[in-house]
Amino acid sequence: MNSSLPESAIVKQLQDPEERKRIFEQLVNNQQQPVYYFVRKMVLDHEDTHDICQEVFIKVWKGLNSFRGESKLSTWLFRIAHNETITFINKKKRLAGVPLELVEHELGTALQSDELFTGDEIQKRLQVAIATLPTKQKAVFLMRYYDETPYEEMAEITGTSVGALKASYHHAVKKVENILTQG
Amino acid sequence: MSTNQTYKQEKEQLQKEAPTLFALPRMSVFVVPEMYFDLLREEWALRSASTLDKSESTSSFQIPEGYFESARADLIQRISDTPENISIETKNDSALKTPEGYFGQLSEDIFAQTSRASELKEVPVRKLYSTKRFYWLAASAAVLILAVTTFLAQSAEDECITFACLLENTELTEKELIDIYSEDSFESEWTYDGMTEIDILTEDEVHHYLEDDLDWVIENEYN
Repeated sequence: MNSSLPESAIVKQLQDPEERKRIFEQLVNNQQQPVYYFVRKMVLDHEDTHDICQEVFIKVWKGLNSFRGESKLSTWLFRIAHNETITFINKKKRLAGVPLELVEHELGTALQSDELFTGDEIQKRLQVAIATLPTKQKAVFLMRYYDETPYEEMAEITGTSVGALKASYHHAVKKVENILTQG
Repeated sequence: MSTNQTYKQEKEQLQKEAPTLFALPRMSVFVVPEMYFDLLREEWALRSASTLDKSESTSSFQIPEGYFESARADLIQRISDTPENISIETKNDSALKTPEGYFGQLSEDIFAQTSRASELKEVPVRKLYSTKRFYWLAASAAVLILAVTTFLAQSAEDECITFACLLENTELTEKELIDIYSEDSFESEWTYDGMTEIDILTEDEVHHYLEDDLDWVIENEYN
């Protein structure tokens, strides 16, 4: 991607349809895997992840026109991915009509039969523990623990203050540790 | 504070507060189907070149050159056509075919059904709860209440079985009453051997006994 280019230059390039197409293809090439794995860790299921990623990239394509360069293009992409994932999980919870805890539990236990999960027993327990976290806290934990995303960038992605994110991550770490040690 | 320092501090804190989590390798445990990302990349390349372009072009609403000029003439021509011609054209244009003569038959069927419906006699609408019915129900309830009240009153009277009660409710003297009730034994005897007793009674006496004419009995038996 044109990571070396300042965002203002990318915004200018996006005005040209051909350039826009080229930037979009680069964005797909470079970011599809990070986006995929972020979403996958959130929802665990590959099919769900695929559907969400499709939605994300369609929204990205449609929204490239309106990208104002106020954040990095990749941050903007992750904000869309974050929002889409949370919308998807909330919708799934509503449709399931079961208590939040039960949905989280089901997400975790689904790993038992997932052929596309290669982790050992302790990794399974970690994923189940992460699955019990509230949706937004889970996103914060995943971004920080696995990807070491800077809090400032996370703040732009989630629309939450840095202080709140730090507190959220701290809470998440404690919960996960408790579950791991209890199991 | 620099980003590196923040990371370092955070790791130290993680090691202290969550040693189990800290010890776990931060590895990717999710796999994707073979060639998934390659196929996805191709798919998006195709999409951005075709489908997504289409959605973009619809926003600018391109129309063929001279469209509105020819459309006006075409519209006038269509209006001036006979209704039959228009219906035939519509049929030919439609991608959804119907059996031959379907609409003609459909009209006939509809007319036949609507005319049959108009022939049907009107069924009078009856109120579920008419005023008349309400009066009947009220009258029935009143009669029922009266009957029940009478029965209960009668039962109350029948319940007057004590001697004091009987004495209170009659004009007879205590002696007369004792005499009458002492006849109970006689009456049972009489019932037991009734035929013999009846034989000695006159027809008039039998009639008064059957009528339970107490005054007559007292007058004739005890005087």
